[in-house]
Amino acid sequence: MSILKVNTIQKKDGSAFPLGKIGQVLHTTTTTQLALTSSAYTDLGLEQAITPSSTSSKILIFTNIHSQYQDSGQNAAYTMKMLRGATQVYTGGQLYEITSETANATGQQKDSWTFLDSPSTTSSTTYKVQVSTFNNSDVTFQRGGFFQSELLLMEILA
Amino acid sequence: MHIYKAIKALGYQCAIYGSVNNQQDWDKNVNIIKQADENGNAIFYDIKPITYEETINKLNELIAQEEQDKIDKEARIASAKAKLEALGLTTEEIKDTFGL
Repeated sequence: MSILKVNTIQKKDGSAFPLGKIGQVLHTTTTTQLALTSSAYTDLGLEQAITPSSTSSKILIFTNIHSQYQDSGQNAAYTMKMLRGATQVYTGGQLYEITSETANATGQQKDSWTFLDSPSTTSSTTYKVQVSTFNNSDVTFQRGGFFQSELLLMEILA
Repeated sequence: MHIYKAIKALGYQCAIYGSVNNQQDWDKNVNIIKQADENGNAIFYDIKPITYEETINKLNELIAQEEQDKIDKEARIASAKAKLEALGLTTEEIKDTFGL
């Protein structure tokens, strides 16, 4: 068995050899239940730090959130906010994306979001998920500690 | 019944991480929301405006009320069924027509 060690690989014209576009993949999960009854944004319990290898890298973000409506007397709904440090990558609007279709709803589901962010840094930066319920309705995330929500970060090289 | 319903019945909004089975869980896992800041983020009370004891009392009250509501509803259904039977409807007719 031989081992080949080199410092760089170049094309015949001297340009960099393409080694792929995925720099790194980081994944975190939570199963800690969050029972939320407020329209104020609250940490879901999902956060992940990443250190981009270049300022030109983009971060592809995937998040899946498990939720259950346990409300009565009104439609339940929630939305989410994706933060990079204190910077808002995404914030749900007044129209909450994920909503029960009827009052007294008790359904549960898993919802996914995808974002492409350009942090323009090579410093460690932390992405975090927050959630908010419509009109202080009742939504339980990761119900009972049995169900999982996830956050996946993928560095896309320029 | 989840404890958040008791907190809500006491007039507060909350974010509860994990379960609440005792005072320690209450201290560690329960956050009572005071207000939202300019970015819409929750600000929690440093000192909770309600205690574990009064929340549990409210929870027991809600559970008792739920039980009583259930008993009252069953009584109303039995009463309605008896009145329909007194009008001459058979058990099958009452079941098919009213689902009782």
